[in-house]
Amino acid sequence: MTDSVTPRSRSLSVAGVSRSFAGVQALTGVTLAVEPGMVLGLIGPNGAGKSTLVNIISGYDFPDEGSVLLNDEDITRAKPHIRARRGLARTFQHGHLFGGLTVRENIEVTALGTGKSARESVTTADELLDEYHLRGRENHPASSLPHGVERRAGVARALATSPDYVLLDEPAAGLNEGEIGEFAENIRHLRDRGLGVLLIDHNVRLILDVCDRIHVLVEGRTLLEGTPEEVRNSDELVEAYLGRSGSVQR
Amino acid sequence: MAQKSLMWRLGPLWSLVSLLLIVYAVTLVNSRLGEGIQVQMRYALVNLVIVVALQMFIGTSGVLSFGHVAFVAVGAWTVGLLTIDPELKRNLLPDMFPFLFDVQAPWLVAVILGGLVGGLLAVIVGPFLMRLNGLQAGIATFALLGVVSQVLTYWSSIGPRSGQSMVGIPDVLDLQTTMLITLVIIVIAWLFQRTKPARLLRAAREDPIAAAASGINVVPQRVIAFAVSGVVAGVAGGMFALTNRVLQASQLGIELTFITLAMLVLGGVLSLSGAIVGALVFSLIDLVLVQLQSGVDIGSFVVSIPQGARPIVLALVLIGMLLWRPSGLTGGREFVWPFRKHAPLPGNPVTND
Repeated sequence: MTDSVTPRSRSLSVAGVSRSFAGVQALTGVTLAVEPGMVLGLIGPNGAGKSTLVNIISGYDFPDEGSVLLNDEDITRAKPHIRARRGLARTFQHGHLFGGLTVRENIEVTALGTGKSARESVTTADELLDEYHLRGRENHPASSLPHGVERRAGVARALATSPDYVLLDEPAAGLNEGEIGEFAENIRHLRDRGLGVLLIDHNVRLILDVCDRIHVLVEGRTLLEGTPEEVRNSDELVEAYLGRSGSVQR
Repeated sequence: MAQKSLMWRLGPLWSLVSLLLIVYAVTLVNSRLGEGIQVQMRYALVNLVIVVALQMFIGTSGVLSFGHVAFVAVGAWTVGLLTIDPELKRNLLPDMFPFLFDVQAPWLVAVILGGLVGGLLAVIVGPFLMRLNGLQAGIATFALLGVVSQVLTYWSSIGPRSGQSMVGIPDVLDLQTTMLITLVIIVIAWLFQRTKPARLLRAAREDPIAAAASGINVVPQRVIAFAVSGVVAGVAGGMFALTNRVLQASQLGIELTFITLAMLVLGGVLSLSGAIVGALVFSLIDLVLVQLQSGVDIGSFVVSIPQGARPIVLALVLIGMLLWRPSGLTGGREFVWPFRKHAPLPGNPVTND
């Protein structure tokens, strides 16, 4: 990953996306946009439709209605590998590293997969191994990594595509406080380089800490979107998470 | 320091050199053990090349194929048609397309063309079959074998009439030449492991969902691996034709498919070392069993096993291996320089570390 990542143009956006499964409405008319150099948080209670939305944005599912645009290009029906090559990377909630390959090979094959040469893929891996403190693990099988290292390796692998936008699906799940702090720094660094980041996580403190804007989904619909301050002070959010009498950890 | 640097560079080569040395040594020993054993060794090397072809595809992609013997069959047919004397073809294969009577090629050119025909067939069917996974892929490739087998059995315009054999293939391939071709194929397979398609396929084998997010379009990569392994299988078919010198489609069907797959499982599907060790060990056990079926004199005793016991013993060996060590004798790992820092992971080639 080089520091010279330049966003190609405007945004990664979702417009009026709806999706149902066997009559159950998972998403209804959701619209959001991630711009270069911005961290957008996506939060919501379990079953809010976050994973469905991430799958639709990354090409693992398709909407019944609405569209997904990447830098003004309609990618609603594009396959995941096409989106990855166009600059949209993602991590997975459950790791999904190539378990039988080493950490280095995980990064190198991803760089190769998005069209880099063998030499470039080695350089990309060297940079990301350093940046994500994975040097000591580079020749270890990805299946043997401790949870925190696995999360870092997942992000490093996603960045090997040299993306303009990256979707981080619950990257902080299972991390301790120290690791979460370190991770927050990594996310800010991505933003500073000009990447657009869509961060999905249950850790509200992390979301409030690193995001420029936050999009709240409840039962497949947009409840609100605003700055961390606006969301923090929203009674609607408290009600959605904890009911009328609750309070959210701020 | 310079020496360490040299070893660092040559380390991955050791995995290749060790395999070449093993095949060379086994061939050398067998070449000293009499005519009958030499013939058996030639067949063992042909099977070894088929197993290498299987490993190049199955081991790399994780997709099951019961169809590679179809590429062996078309390779064998091609070599047969190109090497039999034209006069003999006119007399023995009268129904053939007339232009085929006079088509001739030196045996080595014929073997290369046999490989290319195998690869061409793989390229034609690959885009359809390579969309499938798991058992679906196994059944579809098995269907390919069935179709090719039927065509070669009944289409007398490209071979003998049904029930007859293709005979008159010249006796040009000795044990040493067979070994040389085998060594060249091992080098090709070793190099293939390091290509971009092979690396991308190994990733997709580990996790197809994550592979898509890594920009990997798996179908074209599988087609490439299918085609390259089809070429190797076609060359193996040519070697079989020049070794057996009599061809019938029934020789190149289900039985050969399962024997070669058993060899691969025995050695370890995920590594080239597994393919080679599996083929050699299986052939060695088979050789011993063949001798035992005929009776072996040990002093004043004759040790023998009942006729028909050979396939039973081979099946028991395979079942035992699947239970005791499902990843095969090599555990799916390549052979490595014994003093290197990191052992390669199962299913991965040896690289510098």
